Amino acid sequence: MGARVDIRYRVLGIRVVLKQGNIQYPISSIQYPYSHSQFVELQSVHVNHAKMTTQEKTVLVTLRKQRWQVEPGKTARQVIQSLDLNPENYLTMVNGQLTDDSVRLKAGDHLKLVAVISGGAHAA
Amino acid sequence: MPRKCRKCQRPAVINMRQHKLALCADHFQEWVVNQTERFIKKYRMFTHDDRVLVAVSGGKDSLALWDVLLQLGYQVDGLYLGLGIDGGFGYSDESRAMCQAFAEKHPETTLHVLDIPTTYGESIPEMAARTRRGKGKPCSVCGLVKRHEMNRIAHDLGYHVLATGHNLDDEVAVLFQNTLNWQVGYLARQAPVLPESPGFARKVKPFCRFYERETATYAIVRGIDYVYDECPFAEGATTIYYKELLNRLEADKPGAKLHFYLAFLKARETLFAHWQEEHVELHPCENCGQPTSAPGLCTFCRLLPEEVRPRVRHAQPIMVKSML
Ligand code: SF4
Ligand SMILES: [Zn+2]
Ligand SMILES: [Zn+2]
Repeated sequence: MGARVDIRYRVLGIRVVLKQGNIQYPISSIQYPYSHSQFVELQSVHVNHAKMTTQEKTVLVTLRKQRWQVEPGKTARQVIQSLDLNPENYLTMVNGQLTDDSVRLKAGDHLKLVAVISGGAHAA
Repeated sequence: MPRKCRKCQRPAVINMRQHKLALCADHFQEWVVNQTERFIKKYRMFTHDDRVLVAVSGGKDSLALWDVLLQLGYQVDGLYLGLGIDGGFGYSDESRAMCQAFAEKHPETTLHVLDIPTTYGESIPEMAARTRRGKGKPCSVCGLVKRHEMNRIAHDLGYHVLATGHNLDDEVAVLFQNTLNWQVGYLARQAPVLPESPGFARKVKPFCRFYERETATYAIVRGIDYVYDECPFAEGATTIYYKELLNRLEADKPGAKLHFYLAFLKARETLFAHWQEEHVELHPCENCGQPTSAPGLCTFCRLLPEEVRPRVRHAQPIMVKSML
């Protein structure tokens, strides 16, 4: 069944899969550059940690043109606070999905902050 | 895992700490639509018999409002004013494109577009520079032009109600500013509904109880494309500064903004129960007919060069309608 996936380098957010063994796992969550929409059965995964780049071991945070790399394991809200930003001013998208900010971030996740404050009164 | 939706246990897209309510994308959309209907009725904004014109800027709030009012089945159309602002990324062009794209997806509604530079020969920043109003920022001229033109167009096209996408953060920022300065006259007039008066449409703010993060969330979950970049002149605006300040308070005390606004609306009833607007005699403007306090020309017509003034009497927006 399914294709055999042998991913040596860019394994992003794969920890869940390793813990659960050989399960059906949406390959889209493995992200760029292995992003396809169909489901593939993961049969074996070889992760070469030595070859992982920092991006794959950390969480990438972006806000407009700004970028940060932060340690995984914190919630989105904690990450925002650790960057000295106010969580009230942003929405959080994790790997392209809008989510409430209590979500805990894994290595390889992309947290995109969407600023919500606008100039306001000038719309009238 | 993120929080779970209170209604269906799926992952929440938003947690509204002031309501202690986390919802998934579907239940959040439903909640926004129902709440808007509730506010429209509570503040007696309009009914299904009224023709409503929404002032759209291409931003999240106004497009989300247009979308919600359509879902609720109101007779609602959009009005976009092209201001001729570029800011290095074609701000006005982009915002107009967003409004048109929205209109094209909704055959049941019409977008009216009036381009200020093509109509009156000058962009808003050019008008501001020529008349030297506003210390390098065109915002006061911009506000004046928008107020006049929205009123005029609503009146000419037979809309009784003018709706704007002001959210709670906009309202509390203004409230905070007016309180710091004790602008009693402004406080007396700050409300979800400004009644109609001869020559002026009723003005309503159906989103006045939603936080800005909620209108943004709504736009995203509904897949509405909006201009994410601000008008270049909004940078450094005092409203933004107050919004950030109030959000710091909100982060420590969830619900502080909502409470400030609702408690004000309540206090307003007693504070201003006997408030009398200073009686000003209004006269029709000699050029455009819109009521104005000083005899002669209204402030908008005074802003225009003499040879351009007659255009105010005939300028009509163009209509954008979906061919779907
Ligand atoms: S920021 Fe100023 S110039 Fe820009 S749209 Fe608002 S009022 Fe007009
Ligand atoms: Zn739900
Ligand atoms: Zn006039």
